[in-house]
Amino acid sequence: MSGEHSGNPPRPGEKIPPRVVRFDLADLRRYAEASGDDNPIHLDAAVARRAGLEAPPVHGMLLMSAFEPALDAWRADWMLRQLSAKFLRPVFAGESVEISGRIVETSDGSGALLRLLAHNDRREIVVIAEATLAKP
Amino acid sequence: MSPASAVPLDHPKESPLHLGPFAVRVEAEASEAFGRATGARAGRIPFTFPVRWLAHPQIRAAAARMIGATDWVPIHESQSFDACRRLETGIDYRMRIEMWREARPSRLLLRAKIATDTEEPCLSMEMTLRIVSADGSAAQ
Repeated sequence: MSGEHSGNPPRPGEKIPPRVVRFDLADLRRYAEASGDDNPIHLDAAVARRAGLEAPPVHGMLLMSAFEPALDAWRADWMLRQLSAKFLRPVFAGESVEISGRIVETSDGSGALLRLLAHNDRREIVVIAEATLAKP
Repeated sequence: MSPASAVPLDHPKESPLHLGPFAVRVEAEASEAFGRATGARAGRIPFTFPVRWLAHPQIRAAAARMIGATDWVPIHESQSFDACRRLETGIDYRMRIEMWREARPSRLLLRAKIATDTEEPCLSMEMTLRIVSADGSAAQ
């Protein structure tokens, strides 16, 4: 897919192809080990329930990290420079999330600002993010 | 609404605690494991990999002291990464931390700056954690 864009800078309004991701408890354990974020609320259903959650929530950082492969699949020829995210609602282990985004601004063919969203199955926004891509 | 401006980090409500510099490094094995866990492309350091460095025991201990209570959980509210230089595997970097509390609502805010060993800036990260009681009641 990235080959379709070779040499063409991103344009305002261009959308990144939506991508669905889903993280189960094994994925959360793997991320906890890889990241050092072993907060038990993500790994232990009892701890999550005690905190008022129906199931262990996916690490916000794991959701945020899912934007990178989505962007990479779309434009592997551009590089991430900035990424910021606000985590609006919990996503529970086993829930599907759709990653999407569009370009809101470009600068001289060398940079692009994107608005990124993650929606849950109920079409609620769970993460709102911004990314800046730059030509390497 | 801009995520970066949703939780302004420019005006600490309390004097920040300064930690570091910590020596940090991207070990190839750790980077690959992080990439497998997040779906990042093989052979490239995942963009969010440096968040791993915030799990340093001294940072966690300092955060626990600042929060002060015993039965709490951190809820991640926002996060940002701003890179001005690509990280490389096997290179030593220096990480400095600023951390501070906000009372209402109860939050812990953290800013990390990563530079080369000659103090060339590489990356900054900001993290906002909402602190709630482990029983799910309101902020402490």
